[in-house]
Amino acid sequence: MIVDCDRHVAVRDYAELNPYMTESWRRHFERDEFMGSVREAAAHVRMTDRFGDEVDVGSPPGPDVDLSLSVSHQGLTINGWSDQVAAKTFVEALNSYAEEHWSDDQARKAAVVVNANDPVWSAEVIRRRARSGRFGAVALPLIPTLMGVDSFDPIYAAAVEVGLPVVAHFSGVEGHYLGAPSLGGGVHGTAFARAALMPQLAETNITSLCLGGTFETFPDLRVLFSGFGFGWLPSLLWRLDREWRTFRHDVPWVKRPPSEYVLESIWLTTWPAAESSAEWGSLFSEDALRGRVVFGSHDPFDGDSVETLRTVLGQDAEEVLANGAAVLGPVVGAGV
Amino acid sequence: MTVATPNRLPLVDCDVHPMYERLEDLLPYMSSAWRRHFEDRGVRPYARARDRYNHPNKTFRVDALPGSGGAAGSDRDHTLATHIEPFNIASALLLPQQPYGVTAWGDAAAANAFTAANNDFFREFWVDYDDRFTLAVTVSPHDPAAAAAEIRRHAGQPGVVAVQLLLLDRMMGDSSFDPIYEAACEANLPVAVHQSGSEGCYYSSQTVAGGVPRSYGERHVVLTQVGAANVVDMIVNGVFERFPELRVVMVEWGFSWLAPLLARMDLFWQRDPGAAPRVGKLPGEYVRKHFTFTTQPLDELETREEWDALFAPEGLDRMLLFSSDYPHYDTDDPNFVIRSRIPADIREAVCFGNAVETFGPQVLRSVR
Repeated sequence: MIVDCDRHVAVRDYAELNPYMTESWRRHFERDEFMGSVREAAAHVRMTDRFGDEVDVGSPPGPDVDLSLSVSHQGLTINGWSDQVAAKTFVEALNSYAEEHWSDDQARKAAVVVNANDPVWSAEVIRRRARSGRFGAVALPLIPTLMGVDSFDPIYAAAVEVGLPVVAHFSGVEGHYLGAPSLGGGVHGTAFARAALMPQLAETNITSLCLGGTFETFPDLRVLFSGFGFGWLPSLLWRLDREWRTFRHDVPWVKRPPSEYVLESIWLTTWPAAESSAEWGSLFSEDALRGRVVFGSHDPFDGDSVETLRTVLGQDAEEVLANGAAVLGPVVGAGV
Repeated sequence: MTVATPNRLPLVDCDVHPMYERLEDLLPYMSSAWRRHFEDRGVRPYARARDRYNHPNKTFRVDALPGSGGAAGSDRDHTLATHIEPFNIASALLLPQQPYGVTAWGDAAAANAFTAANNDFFREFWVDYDDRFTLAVTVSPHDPAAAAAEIRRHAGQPGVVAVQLLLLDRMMGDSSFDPIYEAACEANLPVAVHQSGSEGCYYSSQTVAGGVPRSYGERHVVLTQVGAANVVDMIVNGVFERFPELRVVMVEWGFSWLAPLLARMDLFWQRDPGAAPRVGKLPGEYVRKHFTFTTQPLDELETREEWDALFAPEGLDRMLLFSSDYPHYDTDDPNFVIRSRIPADIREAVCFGNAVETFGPQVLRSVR
């Protein structure tokens, strides 16, 4: 079985969203600069300013993939927007488009994009969208409020209620656009540096989820960190447990070593798998840790093919290719 | 004075924090105008916003409090008696921590006056007092030209073996640091960077990724990111192409994150070298040539497999320096770490070999 948990989809033209907006919002968005940026963002996760590469965004996964999850990176980029009302309108139009074009009743699922700046609204969207059976996850654009902060509880409650995992994937404007989360240190002037440091967003949010007690409140919550790689996870878990041992009296709501929450409730996608081949060989021998790693091609952006994964992980690849079934869970798994 | 014995390695402890006891200790090293300024207005000699990230207990070891009543680390004889002598430390790299406070100051001239007075005080009262003390003279990036002048003022002085560079929000790869790196190379001193406590506290600070951690411990889990980010930034911005002799000592930022980070950088650079035009070779090669990392806080691992993996990355044997972080709450015990944790085949390098490579033979000036 092959499960691809990290595919990207985009509209080529803003006008494709017109049917899903009111006339007044259509007019609001019908501006050259906005429409241009939507077009540009179709061609690249917004990591760089080098837009325009022709990639086949939105193509279905290959025939060898049994189950897939697609995320609209255009939706994720609302974490760099200033107008949160417009942002909600935009992602809802994308969600409607996704329901019709990027998912089906069987094995091809899209993530419903919400707005982390409005958890109550987001919870309503999750409950409403889940009824279609066409969404496989909730995509939470990252904002500077860390994921373990309890203002996100309405989102997690809704996700657990409808049985969908929450997926966190960078939009690419992190560390760059005001209002999106920073990266470590200070200002990073190059896309290369930002790409190199992007896994830090997952580190901090995993830490926040564990030490914030989120999984004590929502033991059935499943969270997928996608596009961040996984080789850094053992190092993070060592630090996380050490700090908990030192300061556990300061976080009495954390009942167990934080790594235990990670090993039960958090998953990571593989892309770019080649960077983690050494760690996979030396540190991912236990089943509990291996089970955290799920195949995510990141297609069509410099993605890893199934064959790439087999080359990097050797005979272990089949296990990782199938692991995604656990995070996508029973709702979509039933359709396979 | 230490004499190396045949069956005991000379130990260089690359992270020991001394403190002045009272502000009055520094006043002789200031102009009368700055004396009046600091006497009138006082000094906040710590950087962490304590109302924001308050330590749940104490930041120092209670047994490091000297009987004299001063702060932990403020009595040189107590440090000698309770840390240097019991562990037979041949050289303790002093990283004064009170200057970290200036990372929260907006006044560049005041920051320079304060750090300069600290440098003079610790040279005279600690470094000149016992040759097992060696010093990293502290400079602030508020005014890089002034920082460069401060480095030159101490260049070549006995016991001065490094520059302790403080950080504001600007990343270490920024060309505004060039005068500092130029002076450090000219003086043949490595640049040491230690967390100041200001990280994640102020607009003028370095920060962790993602947002605002809730507590001291939560922040501490990811504080390593600041060190990692500056490693990346220096490479991407071509610092080592401009300063091929520059050496950088990353103190208390951990090192278990290094191998995955370098693998990622190397992979991205191989795929698209044009994205980092100031990088002339594999990023990992710069790190192995120019950086060292201190051991404390050593990760606490459970399995043999994990320990083997921790020390396995290519070139790490040449990049690790022993450190204790005395007198802080999470001091690593030298005997335990060296005998039970550092692999036998790299023990000599970690105890002193890499330190001599990094700081030069003067770091072992106490060994005859």
